[in-house]
Amino acid sequence: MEIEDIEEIDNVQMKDKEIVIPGEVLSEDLTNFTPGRGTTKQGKKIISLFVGLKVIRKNYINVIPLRGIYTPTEGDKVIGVIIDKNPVKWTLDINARNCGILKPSNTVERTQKFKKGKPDRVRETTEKFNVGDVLIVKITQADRLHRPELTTQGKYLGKRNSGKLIEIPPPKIPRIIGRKGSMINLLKNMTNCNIFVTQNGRIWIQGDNFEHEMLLIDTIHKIETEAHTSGLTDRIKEFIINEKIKRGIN
Amino acid sequence: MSLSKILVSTERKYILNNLKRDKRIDGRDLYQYRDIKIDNNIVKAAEGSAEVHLGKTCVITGVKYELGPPFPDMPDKGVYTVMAELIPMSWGAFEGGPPDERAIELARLIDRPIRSAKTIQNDMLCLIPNKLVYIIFIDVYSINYSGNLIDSGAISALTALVSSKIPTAKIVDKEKAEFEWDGGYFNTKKLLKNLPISVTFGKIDDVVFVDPNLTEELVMDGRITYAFDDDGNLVSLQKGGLATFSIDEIKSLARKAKELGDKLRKDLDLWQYQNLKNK
Amino acid sequence: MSLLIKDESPEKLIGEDGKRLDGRDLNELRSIKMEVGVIPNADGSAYIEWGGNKIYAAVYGPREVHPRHDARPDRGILRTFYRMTTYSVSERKRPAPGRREKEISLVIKNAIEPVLFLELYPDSAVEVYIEVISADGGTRCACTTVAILALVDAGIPMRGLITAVAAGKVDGKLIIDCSGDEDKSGEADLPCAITWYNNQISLLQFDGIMDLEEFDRSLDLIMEALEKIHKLQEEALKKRYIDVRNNLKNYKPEVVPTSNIEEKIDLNNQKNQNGGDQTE
Repeated sequence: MEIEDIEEIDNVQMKDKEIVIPGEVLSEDLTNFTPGRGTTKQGKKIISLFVGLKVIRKNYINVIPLRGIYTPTEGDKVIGVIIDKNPVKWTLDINARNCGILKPSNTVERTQKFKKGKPDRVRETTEKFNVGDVLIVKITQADRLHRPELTTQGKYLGKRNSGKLIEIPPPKIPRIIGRKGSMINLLKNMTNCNIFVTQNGRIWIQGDNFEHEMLLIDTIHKIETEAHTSGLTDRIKEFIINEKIKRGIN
Repeated sequence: MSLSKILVSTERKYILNNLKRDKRIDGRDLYQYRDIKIDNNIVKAAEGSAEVHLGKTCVITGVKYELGPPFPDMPDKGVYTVMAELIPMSWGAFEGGPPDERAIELARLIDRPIRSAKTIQNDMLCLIPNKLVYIIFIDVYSINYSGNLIDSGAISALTALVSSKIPTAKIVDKEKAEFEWDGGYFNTKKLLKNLPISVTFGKIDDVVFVDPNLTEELVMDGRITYAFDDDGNLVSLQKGGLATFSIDEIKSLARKAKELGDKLRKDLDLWQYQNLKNK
Repeated sequence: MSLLIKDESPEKLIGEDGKRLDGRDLNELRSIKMEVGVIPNADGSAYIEWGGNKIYAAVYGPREVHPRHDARPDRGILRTFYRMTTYSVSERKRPAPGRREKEISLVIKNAIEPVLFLELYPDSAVEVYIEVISADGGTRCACTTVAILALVDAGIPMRGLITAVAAGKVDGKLIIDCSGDEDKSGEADLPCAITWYNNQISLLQFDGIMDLEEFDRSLDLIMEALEKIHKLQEEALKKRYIDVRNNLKNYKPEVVPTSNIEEKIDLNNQKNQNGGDQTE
């Protein structure tokens, strides 16, 4: 799902997008339409590969999947959890079909010294992090055949010592972010929580109190179930206001 | 979802911090069970069956019987066994193949209260002493594992037993061990005497809570399971995991477990699942 | 050792009125109910109630292959595990998987694999676990039908659905969708699955006796039934999402529209190129 897709779905005036299933014929008109994402050409027809929403943009027919796993892409920031370590590398579960690999050399902070060409004298071992640690990492290398390479060098990256991790189907992540970030801002402002959303379907949250965090988690799950409907932002706003009254929190 | 099978260190901190303030991650109190939903008679081919939902945990149990020789040390008593299968369908980290330690411990934990409380009147299950008795199989399958399979498994085993329709036999020829169906079924109200209810507590650090869910079960240090029969006697007890408990803690938890067990017994009212056709 | 009540199969499976034992016409299916997304732990799952059959299917993956040497560098592998619970059949089944279960697992795998784009997931495995809770004839067809729903729910890309059904012959008459009794005492059984993207048969077995003319007619019967089941599959897949929408149909916003909020938010703060979003 891309920002434009969300705009189309979120437009209240427009009708709900058609839900299609694998093999469903989207069009038999190959002169005016081209198969886009989530579709393929089967004989003289364009068919869907996923259960998802049919979106036509220009002459492309796309299907936005509603379910599916995350495919690592270079440059993505993802939340990973260390599941294994040995002296030369950490293995991180990044909610993709392969685990990611983090090497100690990719976790060295770029300090002043480092920039001058003298890397800080940190021994390159895997003592820094332990199994179970939550890391926000960036994918530096990803292809179909190898395990993705990760790094913690960069803004906002690194270990999270507290907070709560939740997981939703990765295709629904764009709805948590919303059009130009409208949904995530709504959530942040109304629940006073820190939120970090990543494309692999994981959301890290931390709020000032338990009630706000609970409300946020419930709201995220509501967005998850209603991801394919229009007018979501308005409904979520109403939901939070009503729930706040019901639960007696500000 | 893959997060459900890996240990997350922040999760433990998060759960523990909130537990210390009497808050559970799913909004429950420390001593509150998740919602329990029971369906019986779901499998046509089984003599008795029950599907129990405890929150997101789902367990399906079936009761089958065979006729066979008794154990040599109990020649005039029927035999019953409990088997538990943690099938890979129910959780990403369960593996196929023969039952592992976890599945066997679960089966024994479900079996023990039933055996200690003498729930099944197994002298009724004898046809010809030393030769022919009923063998009852209670098979528990996890369908979705979301914590606390012990309590949900125990409830489903009892429900399946209560709702079972086991045919009664009459002996035609004692010497040749010939027998036939006399057209009736065992009345489970007579066959079963006592329905022991298990109550499992989890422990993280020094906080104890009842009915751990999946995330809590993954990060907790250990658990303790109590089972009480109808008369309020302790019939089974097992500490699991690495946690240790003080004597006072064990004593006070026993009372808490009895209280929770009594409430569960009243709320669930397992006898209502008896099939009315039974004589 | 032995059971008290012996399976008494009735002498006639088709009554005087031309109806079957359960009151169905010769070309009538049993009632079929399907549901998607029933096992929260799984990546995709489905449940089917087909007459007396009750079957769960769950998909995990694509995920890393264990043991590693099973992996293929050019494409993902599909593994199916057809298992029956011990209490699903009238005589208690032994807990360990038998030869029959292994064969059916393979048959189902071969039926499903042609429609999946497994080449997108080299070095990985997609695992389908099928558990028969209650069996009443035609489980391999019901399992194929429900397994594909679980795979769709897991978001595995595919060319189209698969549907399976069995035809049979009892008392010299051709019937569709044999029940347990008809299966046991029938004269022939012909399970069959279709891949809808090219209308080809991907599962085909036969046992019993039939002449070629009857065989042709059974295939016609099967095609007719497959169309019906395919419709039910489509409905089950869409129902989950359409229900959410229908529940919202009567929704009327009581709160001010979002435009008021957006004014408060400094949109320039947002950097979403990588999906990452941070307030720290």
